[in-house]
Amino acid sequence: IISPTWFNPTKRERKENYNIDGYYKDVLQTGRSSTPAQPRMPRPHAFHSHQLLSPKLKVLYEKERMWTAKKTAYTPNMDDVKSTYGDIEDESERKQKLALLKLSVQNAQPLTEEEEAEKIELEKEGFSNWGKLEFRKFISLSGKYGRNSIQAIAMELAPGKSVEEVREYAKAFWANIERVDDYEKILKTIEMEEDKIKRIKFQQEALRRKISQYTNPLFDLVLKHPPSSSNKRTYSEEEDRFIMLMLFKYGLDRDDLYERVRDEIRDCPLFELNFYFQSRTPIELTRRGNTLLQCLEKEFNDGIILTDENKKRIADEDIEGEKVKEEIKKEEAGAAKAQ
Amino acid sequence: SLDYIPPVNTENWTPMLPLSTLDFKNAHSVISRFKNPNLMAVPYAGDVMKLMSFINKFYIFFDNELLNLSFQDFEIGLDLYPVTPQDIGMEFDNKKLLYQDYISVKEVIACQDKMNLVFLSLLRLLFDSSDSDRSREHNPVASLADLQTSKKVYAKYIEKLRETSLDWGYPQEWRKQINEGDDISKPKSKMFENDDTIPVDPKNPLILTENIYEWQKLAPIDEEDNPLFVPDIEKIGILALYPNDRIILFRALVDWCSANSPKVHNEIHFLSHFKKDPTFGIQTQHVPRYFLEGSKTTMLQFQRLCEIMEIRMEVRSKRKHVKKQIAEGKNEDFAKKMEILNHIKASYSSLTAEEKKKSIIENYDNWTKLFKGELHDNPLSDPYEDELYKLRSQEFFISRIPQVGDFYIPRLHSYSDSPVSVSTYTDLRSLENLLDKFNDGKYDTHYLFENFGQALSSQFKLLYHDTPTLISDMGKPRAKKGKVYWYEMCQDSNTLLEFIDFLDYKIASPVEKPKKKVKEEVENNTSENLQAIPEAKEPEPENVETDVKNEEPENLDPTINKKPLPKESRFNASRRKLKQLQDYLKRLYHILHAFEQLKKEYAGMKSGKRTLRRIQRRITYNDSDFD
Repeated sequence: IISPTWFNPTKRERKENYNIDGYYKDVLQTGRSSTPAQPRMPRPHAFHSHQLLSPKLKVLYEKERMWTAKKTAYTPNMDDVKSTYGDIEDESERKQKLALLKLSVQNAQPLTEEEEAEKIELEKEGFSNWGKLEFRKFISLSGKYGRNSIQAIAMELAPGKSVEEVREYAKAFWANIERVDDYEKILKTIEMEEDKIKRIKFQQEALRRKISQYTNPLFDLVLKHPPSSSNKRTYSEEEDRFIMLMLFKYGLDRDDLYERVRDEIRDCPLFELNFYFQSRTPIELTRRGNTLLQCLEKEFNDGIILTDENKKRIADEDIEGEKVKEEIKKEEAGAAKAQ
Repeated sequence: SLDYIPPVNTENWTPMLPLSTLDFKNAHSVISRFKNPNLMAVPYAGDVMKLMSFINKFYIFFDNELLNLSFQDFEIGLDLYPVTPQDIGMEFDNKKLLYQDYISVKEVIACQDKMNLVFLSLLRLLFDSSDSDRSREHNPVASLADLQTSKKVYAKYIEKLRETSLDWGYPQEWRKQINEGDDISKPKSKMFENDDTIPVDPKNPLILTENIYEWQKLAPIDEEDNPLFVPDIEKIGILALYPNDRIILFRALVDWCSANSPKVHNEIHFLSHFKKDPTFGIQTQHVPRYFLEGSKTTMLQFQRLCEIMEIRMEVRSKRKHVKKQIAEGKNEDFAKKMEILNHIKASYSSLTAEEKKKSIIENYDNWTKLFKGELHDNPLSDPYEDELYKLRSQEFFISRIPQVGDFYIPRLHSYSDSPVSVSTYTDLRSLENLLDKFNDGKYDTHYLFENFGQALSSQFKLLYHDTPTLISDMGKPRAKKGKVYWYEMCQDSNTLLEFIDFLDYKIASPVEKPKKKVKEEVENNTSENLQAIPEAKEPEPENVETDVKNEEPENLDPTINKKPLPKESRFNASRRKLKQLQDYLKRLYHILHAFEQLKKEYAGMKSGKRTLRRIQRRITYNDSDFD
């Protein structure tokens, strides 16, 4: 009895017989079509904004392209409009553009000798040897090390680029950044990364200043803004002080920093019988270290703001105050006269 | 006034108190003042303390065989010897006596087996991850039987250990030493010859990475010197290493377990993440209040707490709304408490003030009923009971002497799930009671045997920790490696008695006589020759010093320093605390002695109901017969 749920599946397709012709069809195709190729609109010359070529070069390339089209007796169509001007919503505008394109092909002239020379000259000016990949690397390295750290950036771009090449390019890049596509986005990522380095430097400085305030920081150091009290405290204050002291000892920019801190904790006879402190892994110590550094940052942020912005504000306020004083005096004097 | 309710939470009333390093911030070591024939430097004492403390706190992972280890078991099992202080750091082969020269081979081997069991337990804790089993019941990871099952019981762990331990960090002794001149914090080399100085972006001229530096890297010692690569370790375990390396490996394993064993790390997380914190906050370490402040002070603090509580309740009971509540039966809790208080007070009515205070302690159970809901614990509660204190508790601590240092008696079994009633790790009242019973001879070795005394360490050492030197070394940029902060003051009950006697010299106030003597001389001079006065006054301060030395004729013995502590007033507190320590040790002596006897008389015998009865009948001799 056939179950009512039987749904009658389709038959398995049999394997086709091995088709020799089909197999060799692709292999033997050598690329040259037997039918004569339709004349095609030459594609626009590749023009990468990051290579910082002169915009004038783009004009020359376009002129050359039109001339090639004319040479092959090509009539532009709607597809060419799309590839040249991009998607256009408006029907009539599209037609206009097509007409324009046709006209430019009709009127095209080859580059003059001067133009030919100028083209070669302009191509030399830019950085056509900077590929897209290299550019992307350059951007991320400029963030990682800071934009002015050319040797460090070049180190990671070697062997493709020499230090001098990188320096030249970087100079040109920062002078003409507006010419690069999407430069706002690029700039933002670089600045964000740079801020991270600056922050670590600031923390390092804050740590130095904080520790120099005490003759025996391991016992005396007190944080002005201690770690949030709403969080569960698991480290003692003494342990926190020790971590900060070790961060200062080794400096914040070593990659094995917290492994060092861990070993220092183990080696320190003061914590010989302290299983909590000794059980902290480098990852856990990193978390605590960052928390403590943020607390320090807060403490010294106050001071820094006072020196930069507030100074001007205070000076302005002083001038304002003087003015107000003068006015009051004048008014009083006026009132006295009237009496 | 009637309206004022004295606050109860302004002070902390915990049975534990923080042990602060700041106490010794300005102290200087006085170890030479403690010179006596029993004083030995124990370079490995910190490591043994660490192991014992680890086994003690995390006993749920260790076999019962390991929960009664003594300090001596580690020394015998690992072949470690204390040295005289002048021999610190010296290699010497001509040891006077080795353990096997005066301890039976059987006993030495038993200790060695236990050390290997510790070794196997630590290895299994590291690598056997049955993470599903998260119970906090006593569940040992290895037993002595495991050592006999296979000849290569350590092999698979050692192999893993060799691989992973590099990431976990090697102990100091097994790392390549940095050349003396090298500064670890300074970079070893620069990547580029010259720093970057010219910015490419003139609008943002800050150069964030002028250069890239290479730092001194940590490296383990070469493989041929690396104890972890000793070939025999797979077969014979910890004893394959040199004695010093054995204890180093043990220490490293404890470190690695704390950080990398899922079981231990979880347990530490559990113990460090309670919903509430101790009233004194998170402190690096804490110790029982009665050891830090003395038992008398602790009792007084409890009495003070009871007085505050009494006033609080009386004031409250006289308030209108409370009266109304009680009348309406709405505040039964408080009504009951008042009943208890009135009951207690009634029993005091005929007592003198002194008797009353005594009776407060005797009425402990009733008083604590009144604390419910207001105080979590009190100065007399058991410091080992609440796990809140467990992780950072220094269980072996017995005393802190200002200007001098700390004293410890490492003995195991502070925490347990077995029916041990003879543990010294208990609340002050029980401890005092226990010590009294042993002092009066009501309890003895036999009593220990009956009450599972064998579950505790039978031997002991009194260790002195030179905390002042340690603390002052911490302030220096780089402390000397291999410095010893641990000293042994005695190693059994006999030498304990000697130490107790020795303390007399330190407790004694320095004699003030010399000054008078000089004055007398001056007076004599004045009567004889008036002009000599100014000359006579000058040498006075010097004379005092030299005279003190001359005053003590007994001081000729070079092995013992009988000089009292300096007479400056800051040492008065030290003298007081030393007296307290001496009193405690005098009382503790009897029970420690009984534990030693327990080992001698009942070595390893299991106490069952039948044996117990037979032994009770058989042993009829008394102490004098035994000697």
